[in-house]
Order: sequence, then C-alpha cells, then structure tokens
Amino acid sequence: MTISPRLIRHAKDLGLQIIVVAAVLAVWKLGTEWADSLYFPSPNKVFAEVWNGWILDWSNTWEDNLQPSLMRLLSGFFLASFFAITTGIAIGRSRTLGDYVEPIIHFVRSIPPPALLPLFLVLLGIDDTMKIVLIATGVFPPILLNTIDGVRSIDPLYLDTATAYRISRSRRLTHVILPSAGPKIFAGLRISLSIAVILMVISELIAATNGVGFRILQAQRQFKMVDLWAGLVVLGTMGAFLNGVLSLVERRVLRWRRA
Amino acid sequence: MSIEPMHEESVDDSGAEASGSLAATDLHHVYGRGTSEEHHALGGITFSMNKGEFVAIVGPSGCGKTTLLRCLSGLMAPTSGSVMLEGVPVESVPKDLTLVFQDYRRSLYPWLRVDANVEFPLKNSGIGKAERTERVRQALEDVGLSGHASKYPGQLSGGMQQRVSIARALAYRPHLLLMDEPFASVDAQTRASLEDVLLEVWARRRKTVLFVTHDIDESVYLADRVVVLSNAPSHVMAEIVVDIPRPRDQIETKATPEFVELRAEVARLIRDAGTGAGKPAGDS
Repeated sequence: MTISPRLIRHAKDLGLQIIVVAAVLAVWKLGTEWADSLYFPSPNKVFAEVWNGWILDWSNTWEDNLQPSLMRLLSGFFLASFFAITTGIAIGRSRTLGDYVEPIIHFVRSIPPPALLPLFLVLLGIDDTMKIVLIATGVFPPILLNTIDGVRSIDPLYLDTATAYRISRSRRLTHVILPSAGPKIFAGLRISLSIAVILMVISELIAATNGVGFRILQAQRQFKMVDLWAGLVVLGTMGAFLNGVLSLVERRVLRWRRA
Repeated sequence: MSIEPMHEESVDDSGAEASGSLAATDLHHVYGRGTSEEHHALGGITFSMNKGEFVAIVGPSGCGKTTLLRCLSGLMAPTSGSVMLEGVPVESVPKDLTLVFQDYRRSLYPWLRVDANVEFPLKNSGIGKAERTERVRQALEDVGLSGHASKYPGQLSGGMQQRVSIARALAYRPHLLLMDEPFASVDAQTRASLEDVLLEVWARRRKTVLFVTHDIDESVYLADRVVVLSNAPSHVMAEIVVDIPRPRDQIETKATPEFVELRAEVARLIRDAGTGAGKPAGDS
C-alpha cells in the first residue's frame, strides 16, 4: 500500500500542531506549579472545572450562560448584517448617496463601540435590547463599508451583460450584484463576528444577570480563580466555534472562487 | 465580388427592414462633450444588414468599433442618428438581439456553473423549465461543450469560456447576434476552431450576425459582407461583398485567389484609412 505525499504532509502538520498545543499546556502546567499562585491555577484544575462546572451541568450552563449570550450575539449580528448589506448595496449603487453618507459613516466608525455603552445604558436600560443594539451598532460599520466597497468594485461588464440579456432589476440585484460583492461582504462579516463577541462580553460584564461574561465576572467577584479561567476557555471555544461555522458557510457560498 | 463606395448606399427603411434587419443611419457619438477630453468616436455611420446575413465590421484600432456596437445594441444611446431593428427604433436592448463580448472572463458569471450561466437569461423570459433545459443542452452541444455543463467558468480554458458565452447567446435565440471581437483574446489555434464553430452554428440556426473584428483575415473568412470603417471619427469607407462559396475551410479557402485578393483589398482600405487617403470627398 502506498501513502500519498499529500497525506504524509497533512499528518506531519497535524502532528506538529498537537505537539505545539501539548507544549503550551506543559509550560502552563510547569509554570503554574512553579509559581504556585492563586491567580494562575494549573490547566488540570481549569479543564476539570470546564468539565464539571460547564459540561456536566449542561442544562444549567446552556440556560444561564450560553443561550443568553448566543441569543444576544446572533441577534445583534444578524440584525446588523441585514441592514448593513441592504443599505450597503443602496449606497454602493448610488454615487451621490455615497458622497453624502460616507463622511458620516467614517465618523461613526471611528467611535469605539464600547464607548457607546454608557449612552445606551441611559437610553435603553440594562435589558437584552440594549445589548443587542450595542452589538448591532458595533458590527454594522465593517459590514456596511465592505458591502459598499464590494458593490462599487463590481465589474461593469457583469452589468452590461445583464443589460444585454434584459435581466430584470430584481434578478440583477440578487443574482449579479450580490454574488459579485459576496467575497467582500464575507470579509466584513468575519471582522464583525469578532467584534460581536467582544461587545457581547463587555455588555455582560457591565449589566447582566446571565451569560458567559456574567459568569466570568461572578467568578472574579467570588474570588473563584479556577472558574474565571474556565470561563475564558469556554469563551475562546465559543468564538472559535462561531468562526468555524461562518467559515463553513463562506466556503459553501463562495465555493465558485476555488474553481 | 464588388466594392461599393458608401455614398452610393442608400438606406431603404421600408422594404428590407421589415424582414428583420438592422439599419443604422448617420450615427454620431461624442464622448465627454464640452470637456478637454472630447472624443468624436463615430462620425456619421450609415449601413444596414439583412436577415440571415453575416456582416463583419473591420477598421483600424481605436476607430470606435466597440462604440458602434454599443450604440447598435441599445446599450448606449448615440449622440445623434438612429438605429432601427425591424423598422423599430432601438432605444434599449431589444428582445431579439444580444451581444457576445470580447472579454469572456468578465462576461460570464464566475459564481454560476456553465449550464446555469447559459440558462440565466432564459429565466427572465417566462420559458418553462423543460424548454430551458433543452435549450441549454442544445446550445452547449452546438459549441461542443456537452461534457462541461456542471463546471465553473474558472475551471475552463479561455477558448472554452468564450464558447460558453456563445452558447449563452445561442440559447437565448436572438434573431440578431452582435459580436464584439469575440475571438481577440484567444490563441490562434483556438480562434480558428471557434470561427468554424460559429460558422457552423450560424449556417444551422440561420442567425443574423454582426461581427466586429480588427482581424482582416477573420472578417473575410467569416462574412458575406465586410464593412470597412475609417479612423475616428469613423464612417463607412467601403462595403465589400465576399462571394466566396460556403462551407469555407480554414486552409483551402484562405489559399484561394479570391480570398487573397479580398483580404488585400480590405487591408489596403484600412491602411488608407490610417493615412486619411480613404476619406471620401464631401465628408467633413
């Protein structure tokens, strides 16, 4: 039986990755044992807490922490995506509209979204509405700007072709403009997803009674350092998972690009 | 074979056009009017073509061939002059006309598979699914791409991509097919085979084809009639009837004295256009 060189290379890459992870964990373990600090628990304790406190108690974890956090994050993300893509197409298609609106967008984009939190607290209270609005606001500009850019840089010949075949306005929008701006839109979505995770946590650290961020804050207040670290591990996993899902969707939608 | 000076051509807008022909009358186009970059591309083009005819337009580079095609197709409004298709003024792209662009890479939609690209324009016109599938199948077969229906354009060579865009135009079944230097960006071998594919399909499906090219050989080889344009602002310098019998053959036809003579004739006209000697008296 012969093994293809590609397979060998993949196996090598995987092996190396495992070794690096193992090395990091080993350094973590040795370092914490050497330091023997309350603030830096060993990985054994942290992962044991992830297992016992989060996974074995899944129904509570889901209900009190993961589900509220995900709901806020995804609501804000999808809300912003929808409005950013539709307005982005409108602005991208109209030079004049773009000229009027763009300076405002660039100004708003320059405000770090967390700075809006005090304002939103006053305006919208501490409910989920505030958190969703905060996430949506922070996530909106990158998607909008990328959509505008994508729509503007569409090849004029794509549109001429559509005209030559008398393609209706609505199909031109959904079947020509949108797919051709697709790669740029997805670039915006990827940036936005990381921003959404950040804003979700920030909003839960300031004003929440549930969510992953709240649980981390609670652990800190009760001086449960192991729980705090476990919360960070969960948060990292959650972010990586969401990114993975978005990448899968992107690969599926933009599969023609690899052709 | 004969050479007709343009001013003897009269534009008859009653008889010939009713049978499905295209007629352009005194087309002028000026880009950037009133600016320092004003460019007079078309300087009064008048010509017509009959149903079923294969007409080639040649001219020196930069003479406004693409501008002319855009005006004829209704993609762009000329500064002045009129275009009539079957006796109806062309204001936007008419239903029974379409274009094949030179740049197939940017004319096919890379996110659609080959069959979806060909089918795309058909979904607009209320044609049933079965009929659409059949048209796509037939068009791809006509250009010899039956086995590649489910590939993406990016997976095909340049010549194959241009065949897809020809198939798309065929499946659309226009009476009139305008082609803007469609084979200019493929290699010589592919070009010859695409020319023959086109001639074969044209003979079988009885389309009216207007073929813009800067290649003199190509124009004489393909067309019933070659319209020679002058430098910009361009006008029709001559119309040369190519009465070489069909079917034509890449090697044998191109070796016949008729072909050689016609090619020389067109080449001379284009050279004269470059020096301004071809300007007819009375043109201002």
